[in-house]
Amino acid sequence: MKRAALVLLITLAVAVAGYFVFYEMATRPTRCMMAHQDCGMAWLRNEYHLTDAQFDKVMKMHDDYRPTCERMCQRIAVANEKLNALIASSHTVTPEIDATLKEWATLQNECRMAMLAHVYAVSAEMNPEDGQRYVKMATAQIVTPGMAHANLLAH
Amino acid sequence: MNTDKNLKQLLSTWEVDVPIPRRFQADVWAKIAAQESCSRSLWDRLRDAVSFDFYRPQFAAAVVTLGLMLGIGAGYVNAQNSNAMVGRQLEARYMQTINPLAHAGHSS
Repeated sequence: MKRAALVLLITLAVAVAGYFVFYEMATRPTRCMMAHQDCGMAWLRNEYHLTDAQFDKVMKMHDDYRPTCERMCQRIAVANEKLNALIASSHTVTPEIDATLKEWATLQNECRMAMLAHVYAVSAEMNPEDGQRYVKMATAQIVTPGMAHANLLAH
Repeated sequence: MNTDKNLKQLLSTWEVDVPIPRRFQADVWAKIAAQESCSRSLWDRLRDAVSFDFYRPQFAAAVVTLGLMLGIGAGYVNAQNSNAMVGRQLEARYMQTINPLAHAGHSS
């Protein structure tokens, strides 16, 4: 019985060691990516199997797109604030609210168009299969009804 | 001493006429086994069997290997789940960098 207990103890130790060693090894790449300063881009490179040359191009596109994205972000924030203030100060749909809502929708469409153009440009740099997968992933978030609206309205 | 010799001689001349049943020996062992198994609990019998098996190096090695495989299997499943979760977070972070709508939602 003593021997059985010893064997079981060794088995338990080996199982626990096997678990931790394998878990550590298998999750190391994603943990490294997560710790990366620009983890989103590191993920893109890994997920869509970008070569160094492809990644350099995509990175340049990303850097070029960033100011556009930030400008739009600011415009949206301003439009949100304006719309929220108007909605809060009224009990009926005024012509001003109507006009602001239309502006807000137009702005959102502009953002979506800019984003879509960027997504297509990035996908063109990828291998065909990866590019298709990337477009599918990104556009699902662009065209999904209600995307970010809840967030926008909440703010 | 003399009496012993005589007794031995007498015993050697003694012949048993009673016929022994054909499966006599097997029946005796079967009865002994049945008696033993009735007197011992299931747990005792199981414990004895397992203890006996652990003395065999092949059995012990198989148990340790099985433990290692189970540990690695559990590590694999957990790592897959963890990687999928982190992957979704990284995807969301990337999308946030190119999506002005999500950006505005978070920053305002």
